[in-house]
Amino acid sequence: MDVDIDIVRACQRGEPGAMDALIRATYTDVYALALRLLRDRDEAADVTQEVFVRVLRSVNGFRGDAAFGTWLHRVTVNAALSAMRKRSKRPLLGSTDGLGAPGNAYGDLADPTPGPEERAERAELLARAEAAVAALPESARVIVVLRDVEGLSTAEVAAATGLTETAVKVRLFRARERLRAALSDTAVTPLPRSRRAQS
Amino acid sequence: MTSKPTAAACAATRADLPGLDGGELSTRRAFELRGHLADCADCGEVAASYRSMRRSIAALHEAPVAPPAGLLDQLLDAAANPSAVERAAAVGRGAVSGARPKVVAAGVGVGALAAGGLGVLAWRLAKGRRAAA
Repeated sequence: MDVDIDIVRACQRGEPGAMDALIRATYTDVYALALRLLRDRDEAADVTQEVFVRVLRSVNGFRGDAAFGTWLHRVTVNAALSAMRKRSKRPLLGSTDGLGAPGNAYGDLADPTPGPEERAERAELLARAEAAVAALPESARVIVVLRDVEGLSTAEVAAATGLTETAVKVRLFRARERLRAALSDTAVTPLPRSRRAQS
Repeated sequence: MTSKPTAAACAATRADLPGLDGGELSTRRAFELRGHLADCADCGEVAASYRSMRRSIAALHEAPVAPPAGLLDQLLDAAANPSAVERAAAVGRGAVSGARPKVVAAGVGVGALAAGGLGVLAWRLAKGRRAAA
């Protein structure tokens, strides 16, 4: 999340319109991240509101040790994970339940690339990727979203989820195997017969 | 001339391929895998499919998302009236989780028991002092 630090400073000085500018500049990213984690529009909207309540409370105390966008990202992840725990009423990462039939949670896949064919191709690619991620168990999906979509490090994912780095890697590897199978035309490339005989 | 990779080497490679481009493997293991991939077209094909998958998944970050209509207005209203937001958030937390009312009820119950216990204790002490006097 890229946030202009001048807007943050203006919020801290209490300048009129500064908070509005901060909200306008960041709320779509906050909502999108919450939606990727929660896969529920209403919950994502609730989490977005909760995040900005925290921003209102905390912006004056923000010292700028880290980028504001990084802080906002972390607040959003924590709020979404917290919502997930409340929703499931069970340990977030202990579940192996699937999420049921995947849908297109992202709505219109409008795309800036030119040409209807490219646009359609990209929309299809995103829809397939989204469906594959949605089909993962929640415990795996959270890790994939944080690591492979949001680009957090393994250590950051471990810190956010309360898992060890080793556990994160194990779940990540399994999830990537499933995603590769789901997104490949041929799910598994078998070993050649001649080589199988060598083992 | 390089020897043909064994099935065991292929199996070990494929087990680690999910971490090859993500930085989850040690430098040494990644080096070993790349060496294997240079000699093994089949595993190279699998590695390519992992890379393709990773690109597709990473693209979700750029997928445009349209927040629901009205969300921005709600956020701006909340920013204009932060005290109302705090009240709503406090009520909302209890309403959603159901935990707060239970905690409050439990606290009242424990408090009543503790107060009762202290009262009985004080009464007995006072009675004891009176008896001693």
